[in-house]
Amino acid sequence: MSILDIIVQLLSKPAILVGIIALVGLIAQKKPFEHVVSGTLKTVIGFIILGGGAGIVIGAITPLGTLLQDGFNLQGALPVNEVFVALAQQKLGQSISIVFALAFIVNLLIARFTPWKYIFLTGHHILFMATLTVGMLGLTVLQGNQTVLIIVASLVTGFSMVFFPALSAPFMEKIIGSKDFVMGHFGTTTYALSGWLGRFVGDPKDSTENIKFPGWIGFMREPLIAMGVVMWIIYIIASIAGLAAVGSDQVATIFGSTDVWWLSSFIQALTFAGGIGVILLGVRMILADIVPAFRGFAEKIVPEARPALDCPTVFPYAQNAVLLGYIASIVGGLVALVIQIATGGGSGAGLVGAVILPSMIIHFFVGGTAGVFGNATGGWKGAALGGFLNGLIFTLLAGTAYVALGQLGFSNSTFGDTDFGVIGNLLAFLGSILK
Amino acid sequence: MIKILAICGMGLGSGLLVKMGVERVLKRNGFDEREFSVDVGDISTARQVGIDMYVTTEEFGKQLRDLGVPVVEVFNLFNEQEIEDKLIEPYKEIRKKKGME
Repeated sequence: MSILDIIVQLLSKPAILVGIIALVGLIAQKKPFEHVVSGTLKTVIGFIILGGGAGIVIGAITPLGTLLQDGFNLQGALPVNEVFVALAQQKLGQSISIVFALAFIVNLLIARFTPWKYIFLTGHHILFMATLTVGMLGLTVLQGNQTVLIIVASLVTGFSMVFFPALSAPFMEKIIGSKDFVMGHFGTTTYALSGWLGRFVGDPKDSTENIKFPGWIGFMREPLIAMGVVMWIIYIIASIAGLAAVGSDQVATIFGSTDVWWLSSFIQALTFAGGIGVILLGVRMILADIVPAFRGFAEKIVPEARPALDCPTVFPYAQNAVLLGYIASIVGGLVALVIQIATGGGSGAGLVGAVILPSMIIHFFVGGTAGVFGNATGGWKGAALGGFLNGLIFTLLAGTAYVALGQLGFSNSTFGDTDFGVIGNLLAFLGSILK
Repeated sequence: MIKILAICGMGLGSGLLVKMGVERVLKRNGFDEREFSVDVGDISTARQVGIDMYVTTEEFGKQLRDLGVPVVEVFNLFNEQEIEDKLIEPYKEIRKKKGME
């Protein structure tokens, strides 16, 4: 075997690729030797953990798919970015890792040479956007053309990293009362919409922060727990439909367990939440050294740039608006779900796309942030409207995007947040024209 | 080694911002980066043994105050000045307790 073969082997392993990105970052930050070694290895391990978590999640949601099919004659997709990314890594990992790194550079170049001086520091969303663009383009127009795929996907991802923060900037000044930072989270389509519509429906003086919410609702603020609880509810509904349609023996076979159906449902729902927890650990380990290195570079190359930060940075400014937007988003999502089922989405591709099941992670973070934006311009009415529209829009966009992504065959999983929906649908549309 | 955990809802974006802030503040105040480690965690798995200090928001801080270790609660997760004002005193206390000075 030649040295070249070995290099090709190394670079075709996504885990090694992200490890190299981390290694370069750690050396550039002049970290002590032991940090360089442990940081690099942790990044590689994080990548491997990602795949393990995906396996747990798939195992936990497979019975659900069968139950929905048997009970309601319905196919449904779960919009959980973390799961989608973990699955996509197994097929498209090499391209995604390269795009993940190049997107940073595109962001730096745009910030350096244009008036859009924003640096996107939400690492997991960069990884998600890189996965979405590679998935969408790699499936359609750029199938089999890896070099062009990587270039185009990097440009789209890097562009999104300044475009969406720019869109959020005027509203962010109202929320945080300064120009310290902007929003770096790919739900900005609904954040801007929510902020813009707020002033037509309400007054910021009627702020959500004057409302008193009951204390018990607090557990819903833990995304992992809320996700597990709602999964159990979905599982119970699917199981009851399954019991009515095919009987308890068949339901037990679907679960692969002799336990009573509600216990199997409970275990599978919490296994799902556990799998997400594992994926989160993997993503966390991948980002821990890469994002600080990127920030270090950015501060040298574009010192005057404003950072674009993850959405919970605005939560302390209006905590009740988060809760109201979250609840309103769930309602909006359920309305969209009814529309999707009524228009034939249960077969996998209806008039408005596939059926998208509720994802608490997105309702909480994106719905909650839409609430904060709406509250800043339209008080509680703005927050409620923003949250509702978020649930409605992201669910519908995920439904149409899923039809295009479905060919990837990622076990009924897709993307959620609105900007992924906008970019995903746009790329799918362009791809279908150009093909 | 002083183990610090930066906590947010999912342990991804905002927790990492806090981690970066804490590391920068400690380095700027002359502490050797070999004497502390800052990891990111999510609120659902935050309650662990062997953690010397938590840094998080008030919302999540409430759930951790009973653990008997210092919980530093910040409002603006990106504001290093705020982190510095709230972090340095409890950090020095931990160093003293561990006999590091």
